[in-house]
Amino acid sequence: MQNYTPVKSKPNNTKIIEIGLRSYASLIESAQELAEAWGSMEEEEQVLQRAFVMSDWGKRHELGELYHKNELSPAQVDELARLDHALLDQAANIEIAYGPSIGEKSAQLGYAAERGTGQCAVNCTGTDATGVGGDVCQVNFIKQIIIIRLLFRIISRGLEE
Amino acid sequence: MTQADELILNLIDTGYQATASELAMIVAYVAQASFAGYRSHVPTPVRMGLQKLGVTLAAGKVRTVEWHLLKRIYLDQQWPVGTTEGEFVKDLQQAVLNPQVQVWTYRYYTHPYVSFLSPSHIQQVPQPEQNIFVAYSPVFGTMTTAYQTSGVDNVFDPAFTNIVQHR
Repeated sequence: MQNYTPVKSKPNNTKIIEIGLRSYASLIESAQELAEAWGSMEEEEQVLQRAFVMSDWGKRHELGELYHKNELSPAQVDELARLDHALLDQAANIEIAYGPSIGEKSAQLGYAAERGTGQCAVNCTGTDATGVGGDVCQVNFIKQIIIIRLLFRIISRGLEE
Repeated sequence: MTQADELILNLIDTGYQATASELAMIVAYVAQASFAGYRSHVPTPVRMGLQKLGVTLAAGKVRTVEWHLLKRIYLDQQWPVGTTEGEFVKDLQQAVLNPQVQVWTYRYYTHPYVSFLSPSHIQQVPQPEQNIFVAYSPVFGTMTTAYQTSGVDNVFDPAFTNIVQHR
């Protein structure tokens, strides 16, 4: 048991953002590897893998909040947008390894937008980065998902034929 | 399966609020639980992230508690360098026993959990947060994750269903 003085230190937002971006990148980059190994894992290991990234999803949520408080630098906003795009690219693996379909994940990342603190950075890196673009951002994100799903269907049909 | 685990599962299935005595039983039970020791695959990005900071994990699957703790120490900077597995588990047990603990049951992607959110007593670290969150699986009888967080808003998302706050 740690014996530390219970003095509340204020967390450092710069560090929180750095760690959050790193965790989010790691989560996305791990998806393919975990998805490929998924079938060979026992149920307990699968549960543990999902439990392990619970904190990373929480950090992604916090990044969205900090983005809307203008706490992210332009480079960090770009990185967050890049990672959100990477999440879309890894949609199938994300669903296997971590559970959410991309539609569910868009809702998870964007659900706070209804409260005016939209979470998605995709397409939010342009002129409207003031925090009022949360709803627009979410709509753009969902549009992208729909387009990607349509493309998957077209490609799947092409392969079947 | 123990009586406490059955009780937790029953609460999740029915959505009932735990009575005071049931809650006391659950808290006392989880406060002596261990963290998952099951050997699990460490994704390469996690392994590489630790390696960059001078921490090398054994090849192959690693005990979950080990790489979970190393992430909390080195990648998240939420626990002090040098924390042992025993100290980590004791910290989590202390959090569960905190008089201000909030207790929740829910399903996370269908898997049932009881979780505990307490004011964090781990503050002398680079990235302290206000709370410690501990998730316990009644199916496997172990804690499956634990971390510091600013609050419940950064824990629960729509992947959590059947959420009931018992305290």
